[in-house]
Amino acid sequence: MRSFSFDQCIAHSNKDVDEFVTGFEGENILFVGAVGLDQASLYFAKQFSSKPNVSFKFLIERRSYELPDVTHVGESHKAYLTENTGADCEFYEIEVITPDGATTGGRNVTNEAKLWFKQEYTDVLIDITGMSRGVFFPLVRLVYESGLKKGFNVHLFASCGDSPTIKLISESSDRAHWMHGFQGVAEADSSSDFLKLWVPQLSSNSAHLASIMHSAIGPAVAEICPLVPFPSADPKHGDELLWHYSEYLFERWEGSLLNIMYAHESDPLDAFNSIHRMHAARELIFNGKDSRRALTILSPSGWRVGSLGMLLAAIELDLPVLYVETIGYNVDGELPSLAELKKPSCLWHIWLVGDVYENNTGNTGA
Amino acid sequence: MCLLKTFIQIKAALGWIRKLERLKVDISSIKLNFYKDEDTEVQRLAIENPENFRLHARKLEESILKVITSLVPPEESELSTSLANSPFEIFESLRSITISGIPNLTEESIELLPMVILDDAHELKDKQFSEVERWLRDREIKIPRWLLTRIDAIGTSDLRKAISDIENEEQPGTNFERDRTIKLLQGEKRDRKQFRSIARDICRRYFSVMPAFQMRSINSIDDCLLRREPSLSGADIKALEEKNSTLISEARFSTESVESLIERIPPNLPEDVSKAVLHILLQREKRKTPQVGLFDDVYSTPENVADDEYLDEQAEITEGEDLNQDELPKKTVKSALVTGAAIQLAHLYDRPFYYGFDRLADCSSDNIEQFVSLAGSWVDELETRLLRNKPIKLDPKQQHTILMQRAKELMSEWDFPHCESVRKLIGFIAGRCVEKTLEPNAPLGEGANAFGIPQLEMDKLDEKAPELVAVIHYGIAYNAIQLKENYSCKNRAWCLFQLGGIPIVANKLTLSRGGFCEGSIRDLQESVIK
Repeated sequence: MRSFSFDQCIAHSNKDVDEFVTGFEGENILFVGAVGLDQASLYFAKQFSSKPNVSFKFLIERRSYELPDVTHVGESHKAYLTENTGADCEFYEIEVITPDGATTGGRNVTNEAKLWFKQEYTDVLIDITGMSRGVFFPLVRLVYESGLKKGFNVHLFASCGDSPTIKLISESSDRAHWMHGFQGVAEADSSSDFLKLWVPQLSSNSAHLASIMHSAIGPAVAEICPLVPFPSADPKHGDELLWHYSEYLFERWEGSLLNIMYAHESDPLDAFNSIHRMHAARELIFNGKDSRRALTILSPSGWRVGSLGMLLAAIELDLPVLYVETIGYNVDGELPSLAELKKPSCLWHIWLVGDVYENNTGNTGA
Repeated sequence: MCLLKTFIQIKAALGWIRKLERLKVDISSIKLNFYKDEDTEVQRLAIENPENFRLHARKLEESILKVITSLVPPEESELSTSLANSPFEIFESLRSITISGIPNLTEESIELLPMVILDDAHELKDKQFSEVERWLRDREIKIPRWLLTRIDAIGTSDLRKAISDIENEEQPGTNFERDRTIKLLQGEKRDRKQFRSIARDICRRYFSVMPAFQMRSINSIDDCLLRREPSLSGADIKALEEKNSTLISEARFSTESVESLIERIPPNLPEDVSKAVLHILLQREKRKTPQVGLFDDVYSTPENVADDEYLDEQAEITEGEDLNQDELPKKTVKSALVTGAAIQLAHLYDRPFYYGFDRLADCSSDNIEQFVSLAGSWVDELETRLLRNKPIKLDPKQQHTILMQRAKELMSEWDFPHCESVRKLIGFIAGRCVEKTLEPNAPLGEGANAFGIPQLEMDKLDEKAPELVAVIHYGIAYNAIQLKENYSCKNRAWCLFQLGGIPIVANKLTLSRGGFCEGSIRDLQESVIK
């Protein structure tokens, strides 16, 4: 079985995803989703619920503290999924943060998921919509590697809305961690002299998180190329983010405006391609015998589509990923009702591993 | 644990070599000296060729990293044959490292003694922490070693338990007091005068590298502060006077008794403070004097008598007095009461309280970082004034307003784990302290800035209020609160939740420690849930 690459990545967006789902068939399909807090996390499970041969597994992320409002939303979404996906549906609780602040989501989800593949599947579908980064990065990598080894198709789905159905204020850990399964040689002594390029994904109200990550990488950062969403639904959004981060980016870290990397807010392949090109160019320059080697470190945060692009780059190029985990959520405003389920405005499907790559050649995009 | 020990030793060895390399020392020329010759691969490589020794260490490090960072844990059978299992014992055998000089520094041969500092040990799980700590206490290890951890990590129940377990469980070959010394790098009580002088020094250093101030020969923030005593407006002073007159007539105090109270007020006090002190004294006198009403016994409840006793007890625990008590004439009110009156005026009439360099330093809870962020607000304002060609002097009102605004901003910018709950906890404690501080008879003198719960309840924190553990942990870590356990008062042991300097300033409370409101752990629980 072969996988996606920079040259060849089969992907669909928006109504093409619906068409793909409508025509999708398989002999033994595993759908892995999560009981998310936003209603968008229910969309793909509902779409696949009418298909034959699909078994469903849903993750429930547990954090050290959970507000009753958050638990209530989770319970109602769980009930909805149980009702709509039928009897062949299982739920798995994943402890993302332990009470003493240790990040365990990645390890716990991979320990759980590795047992799933004792059974033979023809297709594994992962809907990352309701999952946090600390969970879906390791999970997708595990399923991706299992798919290559065992020869099943791996499909990635993601959805998001222009306006989330629930407004969440997240509280983050005060430590940066290497993403489980994505550390590589970043902390090895042999890489201490590497020329490190750090690509933080900029997101609203998260400058202090970037600061935590920057401190974790240490003074060894040679260059910073922030990933800024542009084009974006709000054309000023990218500029606002740069303004929000300006003190850190341009004063404390002495970054340059020339280093900004722009990526389409709702196209993960744009972020993937930008990172890939940047990394390839550095590799070309620094792969000389006597020169210091180059290392690219990614830090996903905020807008999910950008993080998805980072995930693709991290898997294909085997890049280390540094992030700050969310330890809990507070709800701001009214709790949404499940009476009307809105269709998410942005849908993505990316075919990670499959027989489709055996015959196709050339670029295939959305 | 074996993997962790090997990993730490590899990291240390590679770290020493890297440091030397950065000093441009030729790695092939260094010599590692051991206590005795042992036939191990590590020692053989180290003696024969330091570069090969480093390569070997790097290979081991990468093989361990491969194990600990792999997506799914490797099978035991894989582990047993992995390179990661190779021994790398160096802490017990390495004596010194000899180098043949440091380029551009010295050409003489130097013998260096290796030392290990394990930073951020609080990142370890409690069991790992106790194992590492126990291992490093082993007397077989010859090199000096430090284990740095956050103080709040030690306070967290699991870690606290882990440490107490170590202390209770002596291991063969180790002895707690002889083999380990706990040295506090943060949270040690400092003398206020000492911190003020450190803060002054920091200010001088900052100003010396700021051209805008140097051009005008301004060397310290002290030079930019007006030393004028603030005063209320005439109308406010009149209102204070009327309040006192009303109280005197209501309580039917004789002229003699009022005069005897006035005699107790230091004569050098500003008029507004003097009147506020008199108001407090009148309130206290009113509570002491039996009233004329047949059924009106509200002023003689045991609770209020206890308040006065408490005041005496409070006097013992107040620190940072501005005036020397011994030099005051007999019967003169204590300086704490004068400060209490000034704080009441700050709340009721917005009279400046946080002004002057000493008070700025006291607001910082002996924390340099906090001092720099608070002082920064004054420096920002002064720089703006320089640019606008305005007078480079801040009067007390401006100092107070800017400092309070910065404290509120800093609190609203808190963004650390459980910060919402910490804000709620602080809001509750501050609310109770403000209430206590504004009581007309000022029972605590300067007022309160802490909340006390019985120590017995605190000892059962895990059991009684597990949801508070993390909130307290991060509150302490980010200087929002300070814990003072086993504080003795009223013949009971208390645990005080003292507000940090920034919440104190944001809520106009006293900077002196000791005054607290009594409550229970349940109150704190409810405040966080709300």
